[in-house]
Amino acid sequence: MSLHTFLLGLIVVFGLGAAMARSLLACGISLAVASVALSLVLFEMGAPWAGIFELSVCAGLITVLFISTVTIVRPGEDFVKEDRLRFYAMPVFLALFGLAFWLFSEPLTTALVPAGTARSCASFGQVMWNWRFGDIAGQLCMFAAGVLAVKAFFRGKNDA
Amino acid sequence: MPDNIMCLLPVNWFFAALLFVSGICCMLVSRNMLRLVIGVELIAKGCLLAIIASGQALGNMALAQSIAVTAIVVEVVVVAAGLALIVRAYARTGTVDIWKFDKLKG
Repeated sequence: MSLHTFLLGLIVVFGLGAAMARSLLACGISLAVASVALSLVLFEMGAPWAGIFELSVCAGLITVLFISTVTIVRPGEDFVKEDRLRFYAMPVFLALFGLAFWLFSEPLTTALVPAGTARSCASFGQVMWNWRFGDIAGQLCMFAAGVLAVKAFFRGKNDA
Repeated sequence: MPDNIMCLLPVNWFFAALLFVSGICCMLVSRNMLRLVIGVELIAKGCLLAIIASGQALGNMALAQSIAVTAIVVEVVVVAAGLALIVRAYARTGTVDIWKFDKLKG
């Protein structure tokens, strides 16, 4: 087994752990480990910028936000009575789906990838600033929308 | 196209699909709103892996990375707004059970 496949397996195992763990703190930590493994995969695939963003934002910022939220809502967590049997069925369903996907996905894989592709020698900076400058404007709009949404949710009684 | 990259593409897409489906399963089986956010995160991770794997296979990694960075920004804003909504809803109702939020039901 190559390092790449091992790391991909690690992402799925910890992702499933984040979905299945009984404690929400364990869910958050498991999700952070999955994010770290994904960032290592991205580094290994030759995508360092995406890896850095994944490591700092997803494994760092989102984990902090998630654990902070868990500490706030922890008393309410106990009142959510969930059927654990459905959680235990998840790995079985995932294994069946994986088997079916592995057996029948080859036509999809060959159909979606064109035979001849034009390779680009442009750097990440050139693509980001020259070709897809609209994305940066969109990202700024998203940040503004997020800040306004959080501000609206925590609006005080005296605010208009 | 190098052979090793083309050999890795089905493997990458396989694991991306597994992450996507595990996120959907997480959202389907749970009543806890925080687990719904975890499901969204897992789906976003699967999409990110698929984007980078496709960029690697097509030989256009710079474009794939720029799209991935945009996707990460969208993801973090969605998660931050979702968590803020959960905290606000908990402060108002004292629970994070999605089944208890039926006031808007028609």
